[in-house]
Amino acid sequence: MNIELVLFGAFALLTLLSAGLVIFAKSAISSAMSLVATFFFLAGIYVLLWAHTVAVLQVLVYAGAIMVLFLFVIMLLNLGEETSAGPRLTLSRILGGAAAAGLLVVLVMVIWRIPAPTTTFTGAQAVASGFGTLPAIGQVIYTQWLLPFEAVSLLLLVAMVGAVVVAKSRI
Amino acid sequence: MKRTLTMLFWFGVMFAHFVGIMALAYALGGLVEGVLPGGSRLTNLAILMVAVVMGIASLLTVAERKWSSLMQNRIGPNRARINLPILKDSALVGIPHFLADGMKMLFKEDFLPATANKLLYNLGPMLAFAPVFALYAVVPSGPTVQVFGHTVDMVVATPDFGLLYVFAIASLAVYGTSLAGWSSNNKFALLGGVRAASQMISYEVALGLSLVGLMMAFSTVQLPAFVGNVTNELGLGNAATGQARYLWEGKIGGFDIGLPAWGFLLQPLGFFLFFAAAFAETKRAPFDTPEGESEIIGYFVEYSGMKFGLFMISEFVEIVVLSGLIVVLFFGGYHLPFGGEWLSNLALMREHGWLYGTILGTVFWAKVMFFVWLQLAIRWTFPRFRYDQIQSLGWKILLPIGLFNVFATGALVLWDPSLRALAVFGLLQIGLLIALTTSSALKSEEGHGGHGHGHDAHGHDAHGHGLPAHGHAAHADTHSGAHSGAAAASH
Amino acid sequence: MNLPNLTSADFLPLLPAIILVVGACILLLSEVFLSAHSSRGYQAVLSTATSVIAGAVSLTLLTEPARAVFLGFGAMDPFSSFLTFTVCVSLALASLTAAGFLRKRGAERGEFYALMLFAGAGMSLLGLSNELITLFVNVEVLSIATYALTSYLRRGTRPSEAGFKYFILGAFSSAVLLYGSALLYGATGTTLLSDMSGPLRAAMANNNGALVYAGAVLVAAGFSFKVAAVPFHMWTPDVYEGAPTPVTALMSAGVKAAAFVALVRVFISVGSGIDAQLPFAIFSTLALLTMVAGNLLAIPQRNVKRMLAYSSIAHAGYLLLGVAALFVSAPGQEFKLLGPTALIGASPEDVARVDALRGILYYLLAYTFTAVGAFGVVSLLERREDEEKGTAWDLERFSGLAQRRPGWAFAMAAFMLSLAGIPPTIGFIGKLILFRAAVDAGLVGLTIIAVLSSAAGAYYYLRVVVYMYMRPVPEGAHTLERSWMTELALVVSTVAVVLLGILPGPLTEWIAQAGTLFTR
Repeated sequence: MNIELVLFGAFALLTLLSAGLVIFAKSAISSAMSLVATFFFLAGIYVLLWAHTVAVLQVLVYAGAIMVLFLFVIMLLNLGEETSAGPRLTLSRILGGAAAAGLLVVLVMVIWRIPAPTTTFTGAQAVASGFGTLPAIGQVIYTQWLLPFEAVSLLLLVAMVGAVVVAKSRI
Repeated sequence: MKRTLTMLFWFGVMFAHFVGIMALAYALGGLVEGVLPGGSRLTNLAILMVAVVMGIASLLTVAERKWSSLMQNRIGPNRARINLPILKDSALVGIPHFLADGMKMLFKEDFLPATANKLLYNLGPMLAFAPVFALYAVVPSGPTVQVFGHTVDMVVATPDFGLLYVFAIASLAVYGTSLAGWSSNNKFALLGGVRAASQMISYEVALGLSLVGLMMAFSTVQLPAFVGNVTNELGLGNAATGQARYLWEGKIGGFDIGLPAWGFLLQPLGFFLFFAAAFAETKRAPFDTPEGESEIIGYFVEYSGMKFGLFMISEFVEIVVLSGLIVVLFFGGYHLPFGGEWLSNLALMREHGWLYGTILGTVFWAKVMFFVWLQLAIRWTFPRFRYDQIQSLGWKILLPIGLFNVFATGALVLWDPSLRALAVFGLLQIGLLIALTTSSALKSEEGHGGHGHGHDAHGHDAHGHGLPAHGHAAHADTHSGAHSGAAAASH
Repeated sequence: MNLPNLTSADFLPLLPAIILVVGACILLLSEVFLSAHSSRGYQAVLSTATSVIAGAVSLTLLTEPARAVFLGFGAMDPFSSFLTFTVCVSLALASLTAAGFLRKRGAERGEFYALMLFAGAGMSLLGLSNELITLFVNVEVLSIATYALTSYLRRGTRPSEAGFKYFILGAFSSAVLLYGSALLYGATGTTLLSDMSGPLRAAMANNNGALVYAGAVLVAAGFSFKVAAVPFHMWTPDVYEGAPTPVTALMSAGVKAAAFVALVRVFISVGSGIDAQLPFAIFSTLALLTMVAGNLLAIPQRNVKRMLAYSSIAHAGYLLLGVAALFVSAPGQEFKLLGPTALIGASPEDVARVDALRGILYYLLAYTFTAVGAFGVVSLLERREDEEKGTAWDLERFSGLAQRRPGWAFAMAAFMLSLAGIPPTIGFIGKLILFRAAVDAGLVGLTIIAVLSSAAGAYYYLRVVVYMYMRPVPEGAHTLERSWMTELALVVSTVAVVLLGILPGPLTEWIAQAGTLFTR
């Protein structure tokens, strides 16, 4: 039992807890804030994986930018608490629930059956020097992963133009 | 004459404090490092962040009121006095007021609106304060020196992603304000929260973009690397790096002089963008629509006591942190503009590293104090922007200029890696800015002189826009003043 | 640090996509300088010209030898070049159709064409993606562009519903695709498709097969959404009906083609590492359901646009039959990759597999010409005022079209015959090649069902022809506005449909090259 394992357990548990809260919270704001918390705990897990830069980008992009926009929209619409007339059981809900549960069972079984890795590394010995640092990531992104990187930039441009087109007053 | 002497006296007091604190910080760091390797980071945390930053921030609450009264030809706060015989019932230029304010905050009723969301309401002030405060962790406030045989550096943390930490943490500050606005369940607070969120999101883009040029010029994102070190610092024989090196260098005797590679000279555009965007992030006038003291009071309208105090103090902490960042990124950090090499190679400095550190640390805080003053001056000089003006400034002016700056800088750095071309370009920009400012000032004077209808288009540009209907008298109240009025009304 | 070197040869296959993106950016930027009332006729021309240039470039790339680019992240092969050609054809025809469509509604904007070209670039890049992350990102590029295009005209409830439905279900299917990719990565430790077969075999041997199976099934489900295979087809009729007609044309032709090509690429790699039985089982089931359900559901439709939507589902079924034929393997025999190998001396299974691949490509191009043309006629006949009432696409609209606009009627008749697979049209040749490959591969039963269901399909296709030629013009029929651009698209598609139906020679030569795809 080393400290990494303890931390991982804590972060994993907290991630799951706050992710659950995202779904079960009554008000939209609470959901959004739970999602922010989820991102933070995920960032913690990234740090445990020696992906420091990814962790910081997780906070910067997801918690700092995207969720702020979510929050902004929720506040702007001033969404109140959810006012459904209680859970109703319809056929589609039962089928959907059953399908989701089935998928969960399958996935759990699949992951359960993964054989344990034969070798384990912990701490600094597991990663090359410079792993997860900004220069290392930059070099890999602009050479080896250039094609997906450029595709992502195209994706962002398309999403921006698309969002403007959709949000524009009627054409 | 008496006034000048008083000012000089208080300046002396201030610098004596900085010298003392920096000496203490280095000495303590050296001692702790002997007991616990790496422990100097903890003493840095305690001294730099808790003592210095928080100390300056609390004193700023008084300084802001004093400065505003000076600009408005008033006396300002002078009622709080400490009745000790040696002080002869002196007002101590109003300094005891921050103690009085603190006590007032602590003993006020901690009011919770009946319909507020309790958890988020309580979380709001913490989320507003914590990120701002944590930002200072990566700001290097003094050089790395040997004290009692141990290496001591004057920074709390040096993550390899440096500036990304700044962006990441700064972007979290918006949660505090918007949550406070939403959870109070008050229309005005919600308005303030929504305004704060939109404003901060908009300016984060320009904020990030404004520093890209600087990152390219110095090819780093780590703040200590931006500051760099002078040639042969303390006899270590290393070459000059970062902003401590000279673009063009000459020597007068042993004294080195030249044009340092300060960020401001390389990236004047980046500096102005960063300053404007960061100023908007602090939500202070002229970007104070989220507070809107004269109309909606702001996202903290329902808060009282120390919870309100946290919002207020976080604003002042932001001022200090922003000044620190500006100094580190654009104004050479703790380095002197010239003579740094000469100073670091004096025998006295080589022998006593802590002395060198203390001197440069004081230089750093002197620079920081200048920018703190500048921010106070701006806050009490400019009229408030309208909300739509804030948005169009962010998206239509700062963002395109920032993009232009990135491309221009990239091209120039590629063309001339010695950065001299970039410096020439930067100097040209500064010259252009000065010329533009002077010419528009001259034009507007012409516009106002003599003829009654002299209000031409240019005059309008310089003066007409954005003057809100309410004058400065409405602003004269400090936050706490405006707030206690509101709080009293709501009770 | 040892960094790999990228040369201009790596960027060569991206050339068509780059041309499309540049065209889109010119359209976007030129829009900045226009006022609301400026003339925008140049936009459709520019968009079409860009697509034609990109298509021509992709044809010249057909002769390039198959190889890996970007360190295996992309595959430069005739297979992807041919897809790019198909996509450019659909883009050019859809742009021409859009010219008339948008002018009638006063809704011409550079963003519309730019988004179409962006979508085209995404499709072209998707065709050459040989790595899971690249693949997913490009799926998103084309999906997001089409989401925005679907809700481009939000007048009334139908387009809004279509846009929203497409967005939600599309995002869901992307998530499923991504989840499947993640599981595959978890099982193999690589996202490069060309590196996958070895680790997959190891995973299977390592009692780790469940992870692979789950991943493969989820990826297949994700793609099934995109190609509108039954039972993942629910969104198709509503979205096809609610979207602007040129966008529907692009979705039914380009998006489908790109999705099929990506699906084939993924499963050829995955199928070589695991038993080909799994992909075969998946795709033969999907093919059966899709063919039968698509045709049966199309029969009662009186709304022509909706009928074409169901017909598009049915055609996805025929294509899935071809995909299933790729994965037929004799028991005990190892599944082989379709590498850049000559077919001389190859086993009959290999020949059948390559034939199936060629059949899929041929069918995709045939369907592109036909479907885009058919939607072009639909867009000429519809009127904005009738859309809310739902009568804009009623079969009655086609009554007596042969007397009023004989040219349009002839074109529509050609498209309908081609969709039904009746000679002498390109649709017939496409079906012929595809079905023959399926029979060669041993899928006799499935092929019989395919032939029977396409015979059932002939009923609703020919009904349109009957209405056009044998019904009188209804009283009070509104005037039919002409648009030379849309009519140009009709002329091009009709000529292609008929001419390539009679003389398939040149096309089959290209296809013969395109039948190889890079695997390693």
